[in-house]
Amino acid sequence: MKPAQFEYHRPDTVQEAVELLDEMEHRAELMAGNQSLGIMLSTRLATPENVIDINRLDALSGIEVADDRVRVGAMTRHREIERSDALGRAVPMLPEAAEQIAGPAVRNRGTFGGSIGEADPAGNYPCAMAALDGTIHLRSVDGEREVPADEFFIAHMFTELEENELIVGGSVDCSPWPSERSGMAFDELKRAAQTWPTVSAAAAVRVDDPGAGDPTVEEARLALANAADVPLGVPDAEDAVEGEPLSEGSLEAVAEATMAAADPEDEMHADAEFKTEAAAEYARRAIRTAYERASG
Amino acid sequence: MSGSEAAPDAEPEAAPESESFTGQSVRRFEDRRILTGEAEYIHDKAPEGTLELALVRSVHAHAEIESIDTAKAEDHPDCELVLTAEDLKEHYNPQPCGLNGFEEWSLADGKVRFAGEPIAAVVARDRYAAEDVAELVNVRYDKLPPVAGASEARKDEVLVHEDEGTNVPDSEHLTFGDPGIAFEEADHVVEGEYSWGRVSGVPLETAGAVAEYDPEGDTFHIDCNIQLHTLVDDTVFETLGYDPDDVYINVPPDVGGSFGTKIAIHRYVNLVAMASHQLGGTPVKFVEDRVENLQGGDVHCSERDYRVRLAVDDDGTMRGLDVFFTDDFGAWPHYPINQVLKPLSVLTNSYHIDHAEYEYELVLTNKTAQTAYRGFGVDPHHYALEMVVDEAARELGMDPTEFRRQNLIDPDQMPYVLPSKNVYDSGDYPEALRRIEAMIEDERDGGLLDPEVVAEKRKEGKYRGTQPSVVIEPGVSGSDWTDRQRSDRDALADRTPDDADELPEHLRAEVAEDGTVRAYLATDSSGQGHQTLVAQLLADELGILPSDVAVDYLDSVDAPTEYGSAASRMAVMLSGAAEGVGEELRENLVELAADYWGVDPGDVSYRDGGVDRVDGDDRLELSDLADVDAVRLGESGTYAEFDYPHPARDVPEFDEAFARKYPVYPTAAYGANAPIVEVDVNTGEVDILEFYTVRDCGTMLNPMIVEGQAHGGIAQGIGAALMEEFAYDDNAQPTATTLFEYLLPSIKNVPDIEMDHTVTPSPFTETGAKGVGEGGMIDAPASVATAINAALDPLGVTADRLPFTPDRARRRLREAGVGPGTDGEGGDAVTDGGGSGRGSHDGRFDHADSAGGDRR
Repeated sequence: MKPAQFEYHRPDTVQEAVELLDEMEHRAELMAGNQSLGIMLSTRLATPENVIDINRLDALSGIEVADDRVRVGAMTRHREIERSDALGRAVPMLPEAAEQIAGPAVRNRGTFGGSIGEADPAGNYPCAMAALDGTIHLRSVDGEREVPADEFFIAHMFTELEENELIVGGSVDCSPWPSERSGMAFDELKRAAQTWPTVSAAAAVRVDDPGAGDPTVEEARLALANAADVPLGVPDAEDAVEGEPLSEGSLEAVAEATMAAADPEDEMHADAEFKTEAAAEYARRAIRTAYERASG
Repeated sequence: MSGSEAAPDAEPEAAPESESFTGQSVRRFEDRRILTGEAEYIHDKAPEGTLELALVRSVHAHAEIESIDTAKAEDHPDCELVLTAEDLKEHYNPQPCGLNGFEEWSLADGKVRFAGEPIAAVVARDRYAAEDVAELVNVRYDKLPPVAGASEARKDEVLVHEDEGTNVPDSEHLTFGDPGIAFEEADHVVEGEYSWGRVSGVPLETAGAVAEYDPEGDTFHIDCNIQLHTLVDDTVFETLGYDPDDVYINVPPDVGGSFGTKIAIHRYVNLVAMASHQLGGTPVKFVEDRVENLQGGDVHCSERDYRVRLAVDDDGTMRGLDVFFTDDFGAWPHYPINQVLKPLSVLTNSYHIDHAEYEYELVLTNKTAQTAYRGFGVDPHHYALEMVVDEAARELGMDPTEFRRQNLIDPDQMPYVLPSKNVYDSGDYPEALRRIEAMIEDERDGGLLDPEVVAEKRKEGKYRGTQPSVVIEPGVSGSDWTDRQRSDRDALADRTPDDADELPEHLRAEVAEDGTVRAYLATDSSGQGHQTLVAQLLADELGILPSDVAVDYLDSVDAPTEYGSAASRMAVMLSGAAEGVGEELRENLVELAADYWGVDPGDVSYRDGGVDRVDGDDRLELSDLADVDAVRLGESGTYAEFDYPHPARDVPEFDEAFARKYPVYPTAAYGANAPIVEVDVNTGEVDILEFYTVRDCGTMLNPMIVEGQAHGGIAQGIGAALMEEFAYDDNAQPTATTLFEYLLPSIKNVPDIEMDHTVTPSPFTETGAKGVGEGGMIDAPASVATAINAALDPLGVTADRLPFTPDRARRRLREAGVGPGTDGEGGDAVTDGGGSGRGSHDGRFDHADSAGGDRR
């Protein structure tokens, strides 16, 4: 378990980084928190000629919460997202997703952009960004572009990212989710801290009047991780709960819509049938929790 | 000798009025150096100029090796050496195997039999370069169909070893008492099928070895973290083709865990020794990486499919037990083949059952070979037995705890001879059951198991339950029986107890110049705290402080062949050895002092770290005696050694077990557990809310160490019951090759453990101690499984396959018509759990279809 030989580059600016990428194209891998790449290199499943370490790109690190938009830099560590009060107020789903990633050692190093770029179907941020209609910000020597999260993830570990592009961050429009009448939840079935979740569900719900006994759901979002080869949005489940107070009947419809939409792969100790069932159950739970939080 | 610096400086926590250090929670002397990073592990060993070895491993589970092209590898500028089976066959021998007739080379010879099997070894200046070189070795395979499971292997359609002619190279069917009549006459025969997943110990530290061949002396000097280096050194010197005295095997005082798994790492030790030999003496090192360890390290353990029958009467009396199982041993029957026999030492667990049948088949498949793991095959036996006990209680309509209580062996029956001839030394099992029930009483009244709480939780789909039982841990294995499978079994009927040959435990002690005592163990440690235990025991023997005793280790040449630290032996064997060596040393010191004073030994006496003249006018402290001895000619007067014989040899009750080569385990520690589990029937997740346990290991030499053993064992037991499995796909490719897939329990998975103790000393051992190294792993899986049975009893679902992962739980629940989306209303209560039910009175099992078809 020792990496094959590679050339190591450590740019100091984003511009330098994208220039290196442009020059090397497919012959380079980017090293962010190195929590997944390190394993790929050590097992020689990845043998890039060049590794570009972007840990010195301070401009890519940090969280901005301004008016209706939240922006998370690609090099922001899970730990910082987990502990950000500002994020906790504006889009609590992100800290909740962050705090459930592995253990503290991984969270201290692993990054937001690394997780988005890895695009593992079981990853937390891809699912959360899909649920929140987030945007992924990319940069190359040709400039910046933005890709909606639901278009960014194409297939298992395969994304819109071009070989000469760097993920610089992600952003979420939080105007649909005023904190006083919105609730979010990120709930995962995970058998051990150190492994990937079997399935996760990310939900956001906005109600009309949290003071009412049974407030009406104005808007709902639901996405699932590891229930398909990309983050899986379930519009039918959202439709099923919108326009009325949440009920056992509408939750049952959420579960049914999720079962219908899910298309997972078999894994050891989690075959497709089980994952489909679990996705439906976690979808139900996440929507219920988000609704309860929205209702105060 | 190992270069340990064990001089303990920690203050013991002994109460001042205490009469002995033994029995106190003396803090472990080992921990300071471990926790401050001063411990030196095998991975820290790197003599000047050491080269590193890497392995080329098979990508296929079963294939002929058409060719191995090493030319490109040899051309690599950093390549120092490439070895294949061809080279090995020219210079060395095959490795000793568990069964006779198997010729296993340290590198695959002509055929690969599991994915990950080493095919070639390369040596380069460091591991990075070695892995570069390894990639250049080109192996051409001719793929063969693989055999991925015992049920398929038993058909013998594809043979793992053609020469053997079968995939079942060893089996035995034993009958004790008259089970035929018991099963015919009993009111009920209950039967169940249960599967135990392939699990094992996963020590933090992987295997490692550094070998240096000495061309001058034609000897090998090997540092490695093999377990039992003074017993299993034959797996190295025989392979190298050298005499035992020419191969020095040394184990560092600190090994980062073994749990039995490092007993059979001889492949690695042999390869570094051969490489250094071929290179004329350059030291060569190999460190196993985690993927190698999990995939192809020869370290998996039992994978069993059981079919068990219990004969019971209407009044709840257990009449007979019938056990059949297959054990998927992987590609080679390595040393721990006798794991299939060890359950005989606790055949009927804590129950009085006079008649029993026991049959196993050891099956070879295209998986990595088994090794020993904490419990040594007893853990799955207890699991299967406790499962069928639950099944019988359901069939009889009896409360499962009452049913158990009614059949417990009574304290009046101690020492109790099992039908399989092992003997339980002492114990009060009804009292243990009473205590564990008392411990959880509060939980049933206002606590986790309050009936109202349980009913409320069920409305959320969360089913709670627990099931107290008493589970026996056999301790202090004898050595003679362990070669039963290599013996002429027909001839065993004519043996006498005196034909049995047992290995003693060796211990040395000497007084150093400064008056402290140095002791030497003839075995190795992997975290158990032996240095602390020996210091406590010898401090009491010699009337000194534990901090005045340093404990070191002998290498394989210096030490006699002995069994060593395995099979829950050391508490008992060290108790006896320390007493013996203490007495011997005191006598020697008395003689030394008498000689110095020119008086009769009867006129001096040993007292508290010195020798007094009885007339009271002079005293020699230990440091004085060391000075006296240093200037004296002849044999040392400050040195002693002792071989403590196996304690069962003097106990006539064991005669038949010794004569017939049945497992001999003279101590029976036990645990009565009541884990409170909660099963989420909607997701299949099992949460252990609290783990209650009452444990008895006789005299506790160091209660803190005893509790630590139990904590670790219970954690491993929870892993085996719920999380861990070395699964393989249909092509016999391993699917758990990293710790993402092989799920070890962490602090997040291990619940609070509420532990109580009773103390029933063993009448067979010097201090009354019993073996305690495997408890927890032996008892927790059965307890977790039966607690799940209790929780899911209303739904008719049982934990009939371990690990009981969420997907398996859901499959069983689906089959029972439960959810998902269950709110406590769903599910038809069925009385027949999956795979279990009413058995037949006549005849045993049709083995062709029993014990593990494609049970998912």
